[in-house]
Amino acid sequence: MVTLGTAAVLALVVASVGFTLVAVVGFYRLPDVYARAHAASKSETLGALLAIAAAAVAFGPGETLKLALLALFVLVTGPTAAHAVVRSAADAGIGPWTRGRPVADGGIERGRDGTDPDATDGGTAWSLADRTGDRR
Amino acid sequence: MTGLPEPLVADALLGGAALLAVLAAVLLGRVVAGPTVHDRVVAVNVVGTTIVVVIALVGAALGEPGFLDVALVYALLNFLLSVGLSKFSIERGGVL
Repeated sequence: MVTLGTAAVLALVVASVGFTLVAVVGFYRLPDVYARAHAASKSETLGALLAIAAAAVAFGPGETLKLALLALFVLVTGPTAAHAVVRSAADAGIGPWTRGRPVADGGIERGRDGTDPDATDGGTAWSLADRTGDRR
Repeated sequence: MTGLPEPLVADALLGGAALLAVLAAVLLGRVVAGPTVHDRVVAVNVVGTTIVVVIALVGAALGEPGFLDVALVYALLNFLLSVGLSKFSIERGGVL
């Protein structure tokens, strides 16, 4: 006899593992730090929230407040931390990946897309201020 | 449903926690590969978030609410680690 609560826990755990798997695949397949932070801040956060919901269903109403605090904290800090790291990467002059200009050492599959003969700098000479103006 | 959950629920929670732990271990490959320090910091942040979730799931499977306090503190430290490293890796300035 599978009760409603058991089915809910099973579905939430399976969905959580699925979204986290998507995030891990993204970490290995995407070309640069910006795209990887994208996988980290969306897919991974949703996977974590679903797993916390599964734990909340399993615990019952006694621990809902603490788990809600944990879920809120994960929801707020995951994308914020990814944003902070990406911003520091932009300030450090790491250029984004574009088609035809692969970043230097831009991934495990190095040189998969071929190299750009014009990118003599290896794609590292780039600054946020060049593209957007320094708005801070 | 107080105390220990029923066996099927506990098995599902422990199985999910084990799979998430395996995924976190796989993600350590990105921490090693880099190539930039920012890749490593983002990957370590995701590994930490996954471990927070694993702690919460194991606590639910064992019926131990005390694990949730550990998970909350670990989540706080994980966030501070990421922000601290991203501030450390550039010159003094605001990333947030």
